[in-house]
Amino acid sequence: MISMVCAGLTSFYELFRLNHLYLGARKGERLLKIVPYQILVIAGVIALSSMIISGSYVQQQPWLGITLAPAEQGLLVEQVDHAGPSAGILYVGDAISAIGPVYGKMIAVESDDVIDDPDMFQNFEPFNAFLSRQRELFATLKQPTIRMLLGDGRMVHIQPQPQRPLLSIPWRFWFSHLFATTVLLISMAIWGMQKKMVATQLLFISGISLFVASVLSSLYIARELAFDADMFLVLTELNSMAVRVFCVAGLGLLWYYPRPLAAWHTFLPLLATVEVLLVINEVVQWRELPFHAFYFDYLFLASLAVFLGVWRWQQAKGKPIEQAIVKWFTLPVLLGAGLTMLVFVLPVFYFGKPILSITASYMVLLLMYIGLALGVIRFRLFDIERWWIAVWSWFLAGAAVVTTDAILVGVVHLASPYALGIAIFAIGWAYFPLRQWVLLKVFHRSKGGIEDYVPLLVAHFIRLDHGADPVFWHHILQEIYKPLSLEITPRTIDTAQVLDGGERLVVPSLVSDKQVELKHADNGRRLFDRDDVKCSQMLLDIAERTFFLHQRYMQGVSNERKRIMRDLHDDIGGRLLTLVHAGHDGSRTAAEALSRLREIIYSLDVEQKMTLNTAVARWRIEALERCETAGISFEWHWQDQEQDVELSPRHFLNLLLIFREALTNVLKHTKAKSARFDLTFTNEILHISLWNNGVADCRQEKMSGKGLSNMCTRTEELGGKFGYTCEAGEFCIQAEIPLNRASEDKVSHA
Amino acid sequence: MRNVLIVEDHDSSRAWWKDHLDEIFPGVEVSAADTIAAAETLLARHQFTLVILDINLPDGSGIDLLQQINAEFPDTYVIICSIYDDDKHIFASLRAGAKGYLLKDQPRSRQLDQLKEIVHGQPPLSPGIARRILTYFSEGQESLREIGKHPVQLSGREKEVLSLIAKGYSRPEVAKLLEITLNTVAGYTKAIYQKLNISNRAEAVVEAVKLGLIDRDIE
Repeated sequence: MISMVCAGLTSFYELFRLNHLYLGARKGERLLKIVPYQILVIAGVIALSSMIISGSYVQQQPWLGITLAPAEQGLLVEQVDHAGPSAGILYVGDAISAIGPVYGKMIAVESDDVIDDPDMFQNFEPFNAFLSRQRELFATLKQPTIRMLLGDGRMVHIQPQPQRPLLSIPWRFWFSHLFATTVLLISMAIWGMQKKMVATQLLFISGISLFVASVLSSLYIARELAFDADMFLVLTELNSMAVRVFCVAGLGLLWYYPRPLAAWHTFLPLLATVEVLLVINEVVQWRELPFHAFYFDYLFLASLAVFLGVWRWQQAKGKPIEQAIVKWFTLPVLLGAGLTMLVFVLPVFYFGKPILSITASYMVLLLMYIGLALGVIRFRLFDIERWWIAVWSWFLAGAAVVTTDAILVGVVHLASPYALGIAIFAIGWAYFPLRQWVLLKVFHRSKGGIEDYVPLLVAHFIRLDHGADPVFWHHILQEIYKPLSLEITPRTIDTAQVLDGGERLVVPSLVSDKQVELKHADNGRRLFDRDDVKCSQMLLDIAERTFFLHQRYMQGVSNERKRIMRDLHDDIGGRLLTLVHAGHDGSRTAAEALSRLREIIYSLDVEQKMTLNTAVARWRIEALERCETAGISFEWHWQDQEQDVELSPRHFLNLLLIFREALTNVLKHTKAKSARFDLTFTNEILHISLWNNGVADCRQEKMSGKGLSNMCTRTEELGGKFGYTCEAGEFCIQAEIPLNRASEDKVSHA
Repeated sequence: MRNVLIVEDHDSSRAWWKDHLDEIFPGVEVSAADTIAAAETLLARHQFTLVILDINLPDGSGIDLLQQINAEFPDTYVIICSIYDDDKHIFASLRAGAKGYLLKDQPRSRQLDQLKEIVHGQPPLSPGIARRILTYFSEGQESLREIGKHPVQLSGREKEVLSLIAKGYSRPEVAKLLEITLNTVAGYTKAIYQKLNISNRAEAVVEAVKLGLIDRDIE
């Protein structure tokens, strides 16, 4: 017991610690934040007390030590407890026909006597007959010795024990409590986070009523053969009421969440009134209802649920949030209700008994509640955010330690100190890894933590070029959140925000008076949540700093480049100019040096934009002028590109130098009468062919070694090919240079 | 040309112009300044028919002075003489109202020939500049559009001349292809220069009004 208290305290401490962490995060909501944990603890205490009280009540029942099943006539012995009073007297397979006191009238037993719940009878008469038989049987079982008439004619005497041992209580009892506890915890936890919402209040009511219904029924479904009839009547009527409250609250949820289906506020009160009248009718047994005295209205309620579900589905079309709600709330609710109808209510209607027992139907409803809990986590149903799960996981950790400890002490009979140690180790090693795994699976987040996006950020930063375009931030957001739409809107915000319940995420842009608006995360598969706000804000901080750093760096580079360019021009350029105009032998070299200097300066200037069409036009006028000077006829073939190709300064300069060198080579043949220039640009390759017809003997033709190697080197530097031919007096220089984006990148990185 | 002002900070260049302008403009009076400030002083005292202006000056940019001369002395003929041969500088000079552009590293004799051509109405135009002008007139003039003013337009013939020059055709080739005389081609070129400058001035006014530097009424 001490160890249980210790384990409990440990988990409370963890709860408190976690609570404190959250408080630190949002101080303004301090009061609101404390309460959910308390509620969860209160719910846990209520569930545990109900289980203890119910367990002790069931233990007070007389015990035969057998498990009975309905037979064609009477009852069949399914199991005999070896330590029970029937051991050695009754055997598995024995049929029981009647039971009675040692002296007195025998009471014939019927197969219906082990029915789960008397409200499964179709009308009041068998219901009342069942209860009166239960009264007689219960009175008999209280005798010290009873007689039992078996199917084979034997008459046996058994001495029922006035109390049943704890371990003889059937699993259905424990399962009912497990179900009741889970439902209570889920519904109270959700309500605890958002107490003022009609939807969570309705969920709370439905959870409480389901809890009450299953706790009450656990008492009589645990009976061996008979139960105190007065108590039975009260319990079954209360159970029936609780189930109806659950139904009304559930339908109310379908009606009101996320917003009322119609402005008809009398819907729920009207429904509740009808149900109250039905329950009163059931209690006072005033009128038999058609088909089934007790379950008639379930048909109506189920049809209403389907109708509301379809209506909701229709309304949700084109609204992602409501679609998410339909998917994660309406569908589980309908599925749970529908399955219960199919396996429980309808079979009772037609065959007088369910296909699955009450406990199995609980299983179906439990799945529904788990679906609801998953919906809360994944789609923030009822606007509860994901930290909800944190509360839960710590609560379960504590509960698991307490339970394991209790089992070790109570069942395995281990000494308390060892039990606590083992419990803590077992939970530590089994529960926490399991929890992580479940969290990972449940959240199924295609998005990761900030560390997952760092490579992406770096990749974008590397791609930032001279322009330092703030658009890279939008690309990052696009890649991370995969929104259905991304818009840049003119508004200034300081921090990222989730709007419209997760439909939109707005993030500041790197441009001061703009914001980036993302709609529907992961192509509309999920909603934005607080994690996204946190993550995008962190990414923004990094992006902003990097961007401005990059901008400043680029500005610095640009300033420095300009300074170098200016110095080259003013200082070296001026000196060369003086040499050019000095008129002595060096003038020509100086002029060439100046020209080269200018080209180098040009290649430094990244702001200059030159295109292929302009470059070719420049070459043309140069070639024309030089041909005219040399007295050679000039033929030029080139078609301007419709989609002009932008050239980097380096490409532009290299191409110009290749062309100029080739031109010089072609024109050096003094006997040439004509020159032809063929230029084409196909498949992203520029073909340059320069022809002249001034060669007398091709065998004697040699190109100047320096010119050739210069052209060759430059062409290869641009990833192209270079060559020359001489045939039938025609000399031709050819160059093929790729001008696609990839080759430019390759060259600029080379 | 009677009065010419040389604004140039290189002593040898200044001296050379002083010595040789007489060859193409007999009897010309040549004044010289090595800074913008000195040029402004001279401009305030004398009337010049031609200014040969360097871009890089110790106390500022020649293009700023060019704009100033254009505004205060619209009849003065300004020609830029610079070591810069890139489109950016040439285009900026033309927009600011330069009537021509000489490159300092050309042989002196060629510089004199070109100056003579410019003054006699044969302004030069390179393919790169022609392309820039075409783009500017089809896409540019944003501030004029912004306030709903009609941007300055080129005539069909002017566009034809510019397109051919932009493709690398020489002036004689353009004249031949369009079946017009060389003088007509020069006339178009001058008109294009003028429109570029007009548009530039209109845009400058619009910008100034927007910035609140001048009153809308003046516009």
